[in-house]
Amino acid sequence: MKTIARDQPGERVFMLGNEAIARGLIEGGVRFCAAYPGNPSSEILETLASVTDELGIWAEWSVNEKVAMEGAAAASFAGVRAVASMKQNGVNVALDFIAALALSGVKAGTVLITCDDPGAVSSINEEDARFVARIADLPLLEPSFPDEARLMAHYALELSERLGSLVVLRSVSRLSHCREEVVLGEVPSSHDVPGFDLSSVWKTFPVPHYHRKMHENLVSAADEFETSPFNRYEGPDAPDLLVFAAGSSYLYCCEVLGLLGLEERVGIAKLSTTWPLPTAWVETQLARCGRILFTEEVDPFVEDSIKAHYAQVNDRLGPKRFFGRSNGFIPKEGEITPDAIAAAVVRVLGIEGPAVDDEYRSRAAKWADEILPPRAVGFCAGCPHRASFWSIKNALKLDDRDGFVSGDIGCYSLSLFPTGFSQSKVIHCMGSGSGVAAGFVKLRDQGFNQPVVAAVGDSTFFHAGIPPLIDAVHHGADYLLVILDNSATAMTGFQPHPGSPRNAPGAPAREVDLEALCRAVGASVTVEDPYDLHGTTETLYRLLNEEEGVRVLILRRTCALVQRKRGGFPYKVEVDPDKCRGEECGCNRYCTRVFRCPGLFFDDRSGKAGVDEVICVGCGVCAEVCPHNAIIRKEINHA
Amino acid sequence: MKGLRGLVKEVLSSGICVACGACAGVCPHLVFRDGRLICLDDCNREEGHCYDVCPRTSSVEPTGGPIGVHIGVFRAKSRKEPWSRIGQYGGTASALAAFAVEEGLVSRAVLTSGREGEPPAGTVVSSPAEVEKCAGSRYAGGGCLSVFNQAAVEDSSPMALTVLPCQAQALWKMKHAGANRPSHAQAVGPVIGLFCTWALDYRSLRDFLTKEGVSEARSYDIPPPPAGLFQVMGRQQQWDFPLDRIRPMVMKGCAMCGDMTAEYADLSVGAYEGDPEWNTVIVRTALGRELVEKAEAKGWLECDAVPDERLRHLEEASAAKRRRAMDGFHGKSDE
Repeated sequence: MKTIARDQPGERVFMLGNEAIARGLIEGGVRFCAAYPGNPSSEILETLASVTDELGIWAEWSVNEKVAMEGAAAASFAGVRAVASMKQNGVNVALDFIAALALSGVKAGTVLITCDDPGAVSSINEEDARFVARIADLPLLEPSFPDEARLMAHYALELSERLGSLVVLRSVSRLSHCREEVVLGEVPSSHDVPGFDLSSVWKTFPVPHYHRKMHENLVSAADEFETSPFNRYEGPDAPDLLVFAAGSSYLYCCEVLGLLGLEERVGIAKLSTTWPLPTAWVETQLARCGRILFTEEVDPFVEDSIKAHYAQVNDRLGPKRFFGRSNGFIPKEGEITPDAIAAAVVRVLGIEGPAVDDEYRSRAAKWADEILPPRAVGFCAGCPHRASFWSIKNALKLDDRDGFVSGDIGCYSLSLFPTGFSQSKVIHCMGSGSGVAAGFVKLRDQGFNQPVVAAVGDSTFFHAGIPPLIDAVHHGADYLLVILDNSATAMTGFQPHPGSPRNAPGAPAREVDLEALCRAVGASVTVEDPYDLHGTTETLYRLLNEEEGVRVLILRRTCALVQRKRGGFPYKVEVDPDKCRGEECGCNRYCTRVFRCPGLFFDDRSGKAGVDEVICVGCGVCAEVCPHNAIIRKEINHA
Repeated sequence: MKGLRGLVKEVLSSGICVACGACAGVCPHLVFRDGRLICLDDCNREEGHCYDVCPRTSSVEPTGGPIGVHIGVFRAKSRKEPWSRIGQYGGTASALAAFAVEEGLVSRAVLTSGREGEPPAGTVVSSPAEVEKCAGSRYAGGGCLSVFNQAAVEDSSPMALTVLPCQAQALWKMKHAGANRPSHAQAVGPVIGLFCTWALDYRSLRDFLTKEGVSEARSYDIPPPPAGLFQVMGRQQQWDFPLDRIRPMVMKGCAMCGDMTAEYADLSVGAYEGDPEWNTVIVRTALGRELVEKAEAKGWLECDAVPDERLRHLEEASAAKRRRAMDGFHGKSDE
């Protein structure tokens, strides 16, 4: 049995934050788990999907977050505890349903997990998804470290069931992806058989009635949070500064106070039940001190709530000065860091900070400059997207009408950069490339005459790309929709999607036929292999010139990383130095300068290109790129 | 000397490219496609062959006299089938290309093909049968020099070329500024220039004809003034368009060209005023003379003197084009 499912209370296990969340859900008796992959949330569902057989639970990669949430709600209505997990952007996708579910309420415990990405390390935005708790009047929990995340995930299911309300659990990258020793709790051994009670109705009407119930739920939750063991104060009774630490910033605060030797002067109010505020507890903390610093990820959520509450009780609590993200004591953008907290503490207290020797700082910067090679973000060696955007670039250039790409969310978002030949000019959210493309060409009658190509990945197309396609077909919009079908949700870790022959636990699943789907809504469909640069370019060029409705071009080629796991490519790639023209007129390092596959390098000493045997995967595409046939791909036997 | 960036700035982006193809075919950055020269990527080099050989990057001076330096002017027509039937007017240009490859004067010739429904494009031929497929005027840039460039990389033996005046200028530049690419300088064989007043942007013409419902365009003609017509010939049908509707599609770079008679060719061939059975031929070099004399001796061509009056008209037309080009250069209107 996998560790994550083992019923051995007291066992200590070193776990990833997201695994600890999954374990907490298991200990809380979760039976239905749905998610759409997205960093930093993906490991939660992956972990749960790995033990579906052992625990008899359902785990799926849903087509999108809204469907994940809907599935979880249904399970709850049928009496089964459920979870939907996602990254911050996914909450936006699911929000329409969440807002309605908040009104109807739930039966069995149901948790929405949002894993936010402060600093947008792998996101299109750095959104604070805690807003959902305020919009939809939902209790919000913010664990600070993995073992607490385990406990709070379990608690969230119980709180939800007690209140009959969806509960939000918020993690961030540093919590989801740090590791800690976790003490296992019990795994429930018996479960009710799910069934729908015909005497129950799950609805939102009459809205004011249910809205009142939501507010009553929040009052109950706040009452419960007043004595929550997840909130505590650490520090002197009358500190010089009180730091409110929400979620993952708690550990940073502990680290900073230790580093600065300020444990006796500064207190930490660790707040992990962040909405609704346990106001009496908050007032107790505020009463300790006149200077309050807020540390939390992304937006001043706790900061604003506490300040708003203080406005109602300031006559009792006396004057206070507040510091945080809203007045720039903590940087307003980007991920919070111990350095940022230390700087704020030092500034508020007016003391000397931790001195870093200037010479050390400049030497470190200089060495980093020397040691680190300049590296641009780029597609992997052999990535089919590089080949696809190469052909898109060439076709748009040949077409000569200032055509451009409306891009989408996935690895191929890198087409904003030179690795994708800077082809995408518009990129926003999942599925938006297609809708935006259609919008441009609806201006045809007003004189908009540039060709538009929408580029979307297979998983993103299933997620949110179908409604805009239907809209475009219906309105006669003429654009070219390129579906970059690499048979994987590659960017988030190769999770299956509706076009895959396997589901989340790895069992066979019916593949949704992309071509049939597109044809069914009325688009023409062509399929090409993007590794065939010439063929793909010609097809693109032809389709660009067919100004009749929506043309779908599926560029189908398995992700190079997946292909590598399946045994790799049948080629060994070499450069013939006699044929390579190097920097001469007629080439000028065309392969490394323009095509830019990291498997190729240019040797300044010999003035010739070469193939890096470690990085090259052997796709052989560059052989077609070389204008002088100096790159040779030899078939190799994999036996 | 400049390179691709200079070419893009001064010629491609400024819209004066005449799609001769001289810059393309030697590197991956520049390609000829459907009547246009396209820069796919920047090559990042300061200097380049492309800039050197472009007929628009430096002015190519008139060689002298109203119709350029020459050693003979006469009228000619093909005495062999099918050239007089399928070629433009007397079929002289097609016949000379066919003769050159048939008789082994050159092993290959570069011509412009343009089958119905297809864009004009350069092609390397080595038999009269292949020449036959290229007969007739295209009135649109065919970029055949890109094909010449590719062919010269593989084999630098001389090729005959049937080209427009701008292309003859580019070939002259290749031949005389050939230090960069000796293979290309060597590969320039006898150049048969065609009279030209302007050429059309192929894509504009294609879109225009589609819009006008022209279902098949086998060949084109502009009958002598005062007709003022552009004729499109199909199998069963002929479409006549007033020239005024066609002129907006003339390539901008043609307006600044003062070379009507292909002064930089070895010999030039064009219409013969008042008699569509004949061509005017201007012989300019010994190489040109040798080709015509051999073709005549072998019975491929029939040559005759041109009356002074006709010659004067040709000179007037040529001088008028030069004048218009200069006016255009100084910002006056084209016509």
